[in-house]
Amino acid sequence: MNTVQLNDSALVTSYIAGNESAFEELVNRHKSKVYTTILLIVKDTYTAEDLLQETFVKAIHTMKSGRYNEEGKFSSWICRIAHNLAIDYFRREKRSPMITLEDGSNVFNTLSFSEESVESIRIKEETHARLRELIQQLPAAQKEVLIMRHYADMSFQEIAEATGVSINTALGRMRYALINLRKKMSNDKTAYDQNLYSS
Amino acid sequence: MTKTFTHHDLVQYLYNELPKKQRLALEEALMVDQELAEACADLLLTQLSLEEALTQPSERVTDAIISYSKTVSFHP
Repeated sequence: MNTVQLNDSALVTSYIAGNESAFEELVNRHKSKVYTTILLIVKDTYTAEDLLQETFVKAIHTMKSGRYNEEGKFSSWICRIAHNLAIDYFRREKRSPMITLEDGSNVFNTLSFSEESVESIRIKEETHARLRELIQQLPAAQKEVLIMRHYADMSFQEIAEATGVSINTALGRMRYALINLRKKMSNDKTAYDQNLYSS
Repeated sequence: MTKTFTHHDLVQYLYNELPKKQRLALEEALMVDQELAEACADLLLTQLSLEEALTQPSERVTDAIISYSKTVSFHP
């Protein structure tokens, strides 16, 4: 069976039926968004990797014990587990996930860019790390909505319910998050747009 | 009658949360409303930039997750 061509729902069904390669495809498909969601909250790669494992362990147990609810998208479900674990981590640590600013820690991206020099990979990763820093600098409420919607794949309705605000407030926060991020990027020395259109 | 779209509509459009009828109407409006199109383009460019912030966990962690799954048996 070619798992690459299956949608998430079919992959979950196949995995529950015993096909481990279906799970491998699900992991490869979603690991980046799940990991980034966690990393933007905890700001530490070691903690983020631990929580990523914990997220998928929870998902494995839920699916293999027959408790997986087919309602909604798999991506939203797995990212919500990750988001909740990251927030719980901060509660345990008695720290606020939304107040401290990024101190510039560099995250090494393990993506292999074919035919790219080590130097260009380094520059690209530094640019991406800088963008993550700019996201950290957004006002807390805006950053929260941005992470939940763009990386954790939650709907604005779900975000409104999770954060106790109206859907219009969630939409407004997202809009200002994007506008403020655009301004920060324009003021920043790094040429994001060049990266956007580079192959 | 031309419908007026809000910035909130644009954000919902960006994330595919506008109902189909509204989405089609907004796309028509984008063809003729320069200001709306520019606002949409700005938001869209920033949204695209957000993909640049995506990063990957180490292969070691990914492999550990996949290996762990194989050790868990079914408990229906």
